[in-house]
Amino acid sequence: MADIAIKPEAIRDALANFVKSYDPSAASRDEIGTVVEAGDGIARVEGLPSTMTNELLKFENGTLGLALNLDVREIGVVILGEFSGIEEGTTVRRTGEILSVPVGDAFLGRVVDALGRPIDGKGEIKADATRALELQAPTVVQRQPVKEPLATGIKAIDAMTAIGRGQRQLIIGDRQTGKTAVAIDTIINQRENWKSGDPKKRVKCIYVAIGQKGSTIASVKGALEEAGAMEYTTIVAAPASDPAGFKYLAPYTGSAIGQHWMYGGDHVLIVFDDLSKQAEAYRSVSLLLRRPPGREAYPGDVFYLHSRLLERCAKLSDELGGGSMTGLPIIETKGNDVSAFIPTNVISITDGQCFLETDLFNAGVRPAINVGISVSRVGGSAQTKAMKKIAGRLRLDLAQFRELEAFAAFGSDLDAASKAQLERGSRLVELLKQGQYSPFSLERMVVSIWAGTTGQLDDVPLVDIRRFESEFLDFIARERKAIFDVIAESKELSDDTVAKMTDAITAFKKQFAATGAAKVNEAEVAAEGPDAQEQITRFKK
Amino acid sequence: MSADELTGSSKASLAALRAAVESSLASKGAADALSLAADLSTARAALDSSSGLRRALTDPARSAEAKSALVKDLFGKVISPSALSLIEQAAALRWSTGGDLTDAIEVITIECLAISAEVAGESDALEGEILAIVRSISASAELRQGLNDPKYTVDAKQRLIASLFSGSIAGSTAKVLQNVVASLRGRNVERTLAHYSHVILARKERTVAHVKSAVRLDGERLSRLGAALERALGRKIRVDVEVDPLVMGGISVRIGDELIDGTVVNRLMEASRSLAGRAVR
Repeated sequence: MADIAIKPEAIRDALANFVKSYDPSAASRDEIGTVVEAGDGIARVEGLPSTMTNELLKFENGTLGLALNLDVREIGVVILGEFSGIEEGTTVRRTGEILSVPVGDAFLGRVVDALGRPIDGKGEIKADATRALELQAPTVVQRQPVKEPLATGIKAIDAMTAIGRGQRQLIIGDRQTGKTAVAIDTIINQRENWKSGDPKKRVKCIYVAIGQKGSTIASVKGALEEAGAMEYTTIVAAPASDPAGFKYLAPYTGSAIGQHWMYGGDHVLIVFDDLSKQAEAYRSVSLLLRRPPGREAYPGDVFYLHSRLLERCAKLSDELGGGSMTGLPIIETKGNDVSAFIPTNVISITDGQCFLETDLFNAGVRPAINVGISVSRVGGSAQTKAMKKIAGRLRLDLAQFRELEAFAAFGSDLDAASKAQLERGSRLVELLKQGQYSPFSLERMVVSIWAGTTGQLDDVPLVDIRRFESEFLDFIARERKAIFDVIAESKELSDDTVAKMTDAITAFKKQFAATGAAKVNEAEVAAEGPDAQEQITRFKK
Repeated sequence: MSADELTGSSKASLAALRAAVESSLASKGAADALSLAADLSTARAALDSSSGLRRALTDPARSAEAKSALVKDLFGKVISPSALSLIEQAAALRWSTGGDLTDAIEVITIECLAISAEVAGESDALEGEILAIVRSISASAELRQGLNDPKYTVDAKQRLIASLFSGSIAGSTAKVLQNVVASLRGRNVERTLAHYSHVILARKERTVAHVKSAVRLDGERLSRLGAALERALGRKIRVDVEVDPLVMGGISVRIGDELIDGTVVNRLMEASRSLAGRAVR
């Protein structure tokens, strides 16, 4: 057979003409894509060459998808919804919209899914605006340093690792150590601020539940409602039954809702519970999209996944309204290993961490915060003057106590100074224990910790410390209310107030009954003579 | 690189292309089939030589008209209108990769050669001789090396083949060999020949219906069966009957990968399967 070979020059020329004839605008009209592969929550779509990254695509049956991978010939799409109705050959169209969610004040008190749609059955939410999920965080000049405190109501945190408005504080620990409890207590503690009506004080809260059991989310909602906190909280729920795409997006949705308020000048608190599950969902989506796996099979950009999310928590400059968004991401460690991949990533992103330990939790120290390795990089600037004054010694005393703790078993063999330190330290540990859903206001916290650090509690038996504390605070609230008022007003601790407090505690100790023992600080009483006895005569009617 | 490896959209597109070739050669002679094969070979050689051309013709972002214009521009003066329209059709279909288009065009080239052999009545000879040639090339290391060596020109290799095999093989087989040698382009000759024979046999399988029946089918029943199958599948079917008393009754028809089983024994098995799951009361 005679082969008529086509010359390479002819091919080149023909290709040049072909390329020149390309008209991009004509291509976007009537673009239809076809699914070539579908399953496990992702689909590969051929066609649709004008698709943008993170654009929403619509499948034939109405399901939405997110265009994540833009390859040469096909698009890797994460299906946002049920994927059982999507088959090979289904048509796909572009929506032209980058992924965005509705935002606005109407979201307070509601429970929404990862796309901002309500799931609490209370009807439609009227949104003020829509906000894209992938907007840049505020730049350096748009921020100012964090200086206002965000009171969590938990003594251990507010005294030693205080959180400021605009800070990111990581809550990290094993499972069942009370991480969610810390976050919920913080939300509940904002109730007084909310009741005051002052927009400078009010904090709008967002709780993002990622990959949690539906029953857990329901119980969180119940706890918030009971405490009256639901009216200023939005819950973004992506429970464990949701597809991986929703779990990946839910934190960004919560962040977008919060950013809308932040740029409007409000203060926002956002809790991400928890980011380990978001990383796992992102890993599953990336592996299905055939992105190369890295350490622990996470994709290479898992750091960027968390860093761009957490960088959106900031304190804005006054030109932009002075709003702030405080982030409390939660990370679950396995076996207390903070040097695993995701925990180290998030620790390096956040401005400090509260490390909750299983051993402490099981020993009854709740909240189980390990004060030694918990830190807040904002620290003192986020504390009121009153708190700064009394909490300074607390960390030191606790550190010295921990060093000596190992010798506590040999209590009888220690010198007096060490014994005193042990006594002081154990009382402080006892003092820092706190019940769930019982946040402390600033003044109660200040008085309580002052009593502990200044040695006022050294003569109270260890088993009675908590009871002493609660009864003492009630005593002041009843009979020396002025102390609380002046601390709450001025947020400072003057010498005058200190004197009043010393006076109060001395008076209280006289009436406090320690368990099974005599009164704590009773002066010697001389027996009265018989003449001093009162005569009571009973008259019969 | 066999046709079985085409997956996804390429597989569907190849099936469509194959149907187009069959219909265009339906009532033509052997010479038409051969000239179509020659034109398709030329086109394939051009595609093989330029990755840019492959990419351009399989680009999902371009319209079919633009690709058609490119095909006409490049091949218009060189190949026949029927081949041109086939290439245009191929470019309009969806392909997973550029290489799949080239492979598909090679597959339909081989099928054109098989059709021309069939029309000339040389199908069986073609199949048997190709396999024999594969065996003799595997047996002789020098022949293998000579054909695989790129420093020898295509003409020299054609002359070698002609001197070795002409006279002992059918005309169709000779044409197939010429095509193989001309389109080697660095590939291994044994594997390419095996691929060709695989495609030819697969095509044959699609035109033979293996029928199992309990009794011998008489001529009238046989021709009715053949006519029904040809109507259903749209191509000429040869019916090959095997008598197997084990089927007890009815017939089963296997064409290529499809099986239609209407035998009594199959129906009894289905019944027992559906009963097996139920509790016996």
